[in-house]
Amino acid sequence: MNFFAIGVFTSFLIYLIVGNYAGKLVKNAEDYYVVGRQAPTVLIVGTLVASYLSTVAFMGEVGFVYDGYAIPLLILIALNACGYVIGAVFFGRYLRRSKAMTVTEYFGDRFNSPQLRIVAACITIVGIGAYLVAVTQGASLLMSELIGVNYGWSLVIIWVVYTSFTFYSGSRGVIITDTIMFFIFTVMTFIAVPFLIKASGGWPDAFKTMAVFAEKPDSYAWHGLTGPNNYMGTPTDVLVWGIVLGLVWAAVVAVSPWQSSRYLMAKNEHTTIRSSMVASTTIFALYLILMMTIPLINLLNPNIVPSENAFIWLAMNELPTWLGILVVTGIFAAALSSCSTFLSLVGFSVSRDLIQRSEKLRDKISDDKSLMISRIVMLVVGVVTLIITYFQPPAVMWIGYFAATLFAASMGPITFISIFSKRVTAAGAIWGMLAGFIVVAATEAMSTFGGIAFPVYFRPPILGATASILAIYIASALTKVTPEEKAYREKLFIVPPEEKDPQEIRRTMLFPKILIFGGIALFIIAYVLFFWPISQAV
Amino acid sequence: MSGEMLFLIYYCGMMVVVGIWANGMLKKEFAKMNSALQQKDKEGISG
Repeated sequence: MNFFAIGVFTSFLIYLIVGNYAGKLVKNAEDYYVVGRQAPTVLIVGTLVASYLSTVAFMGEVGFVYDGYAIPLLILIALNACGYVIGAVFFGRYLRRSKAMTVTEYFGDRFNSPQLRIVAACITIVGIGAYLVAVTQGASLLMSELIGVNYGWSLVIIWVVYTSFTFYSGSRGVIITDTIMFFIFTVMTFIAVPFLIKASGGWPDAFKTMAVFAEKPDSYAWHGLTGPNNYMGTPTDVLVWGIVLGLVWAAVVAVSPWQSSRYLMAKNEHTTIRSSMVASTTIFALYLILMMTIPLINLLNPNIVPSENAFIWLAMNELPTWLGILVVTGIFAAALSSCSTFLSLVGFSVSRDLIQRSEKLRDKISDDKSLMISRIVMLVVGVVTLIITYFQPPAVMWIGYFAATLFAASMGPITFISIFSKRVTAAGAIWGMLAGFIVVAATEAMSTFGGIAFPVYFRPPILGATASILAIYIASALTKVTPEEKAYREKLFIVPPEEKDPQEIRRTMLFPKILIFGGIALFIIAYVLFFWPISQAV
Repeated sequence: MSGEMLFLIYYCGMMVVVGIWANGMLKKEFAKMNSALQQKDKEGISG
């Protein structure tokens, strides 16, 4: 076993110990699902960022940037990162106020509709289940390369690690381990960057050389590599692609259950607002610093195939061993944190929104029994995931992208409309979700299997969101708002007394300033570090 | 100005703009909350 494998297995052991300890602290179902609604800002930030970043970021997106698309990816990220603040302000704090255990429970209660809850639960199970399969496969392939065992055994190792603490400790274990993993990959990113700059020629020479690097001459151009043999046709295509997908991903981080459900665990609404702003600042800073440096790997080796392995190649070949171990551990941390969050959400949906949906049933069984049922269901969901992941052909990253766009289209419109519209009804919500889901699934299938290329302005998520909005308004216009729906919505606008503490308000008002001054500081750092040397060379 | 510099202004500008927007929006909401509280206090004293 090599040093990298020893480092990774040591980190696995830490997660298992911490997860097991957190599991012992779980006293009842509320603890298991939403950490007793007592999580502080640091844990919410940790789980928000860790569940968002996975192998897609540290392998897929790093590969895309290595191939010559640093600034196009960052055009997308600038919009994406704003989704945190918009989501918390317009949905997250109302969601927390609803006191639901899951996002789907909120929808069911908001419209007093068990049918809507089932529809939302099924979309969550299919969408997040698919994403879980894709991320588990990514981590298993990485493990297989690291320790040289076959894919099946690697899959079992990865699965055992995240399932063991997720099923036992629920959200309590997931948010603590997520936060540990968040610190590991954030620290490894900021330490790896100066070492990469030094290894590729030092500052500012490395950036000057890369800006005119003959093999990928436009790596630092705002539009990246364009033309007949590249991913993108023209600079305008790049700009539209970045803006459209940036808006889609902003909707994903604002409303998708794997992000918005984190706010259900927040100690109060101030924690929701604060953590969204810190998460947004973290994504802005981490992506800009990392992705502007990644192209330099080309100066060390311009022929890494597949390009998704660029960061791992760097860790194993060019960085000091201790840092290489930290980088590989960080990439596994990013993957496992997403896996544990996704598994918990699918398990919660099956357990709470399908099996223990009825209040009558919940009243009949004790809290201990409810907790036991939830744990058993989580384990069964985990086993089913393992079986599906084993038989599903690996390297199907399109599943991950499909799941993300699915939520943006099917849940995005109804999420905001459910808060701010007085006229929307249960029928509107059900048909809106179904229309978004069906249109995205059909158009994605036409694109993937039928080879139909949709213009960048009419990508599946845009078509799906449009269909969803139309369905919401048509079905709502044909039905009437019930007194229960009206009363529930009005209740969401009553600010709880504990949120009016002047000291808490003063502290919360400091957080937007983190974004403002963070933006100014990041501008100065990025200009000096990256853009000044690049402008000198071209 | 080059496209790359425009990008940097856009990227960091988004952070600043979202921060300013959130700051203004929260200030307004908290001020509304405060005035409602003061109104309640006044009603309590006069009642």
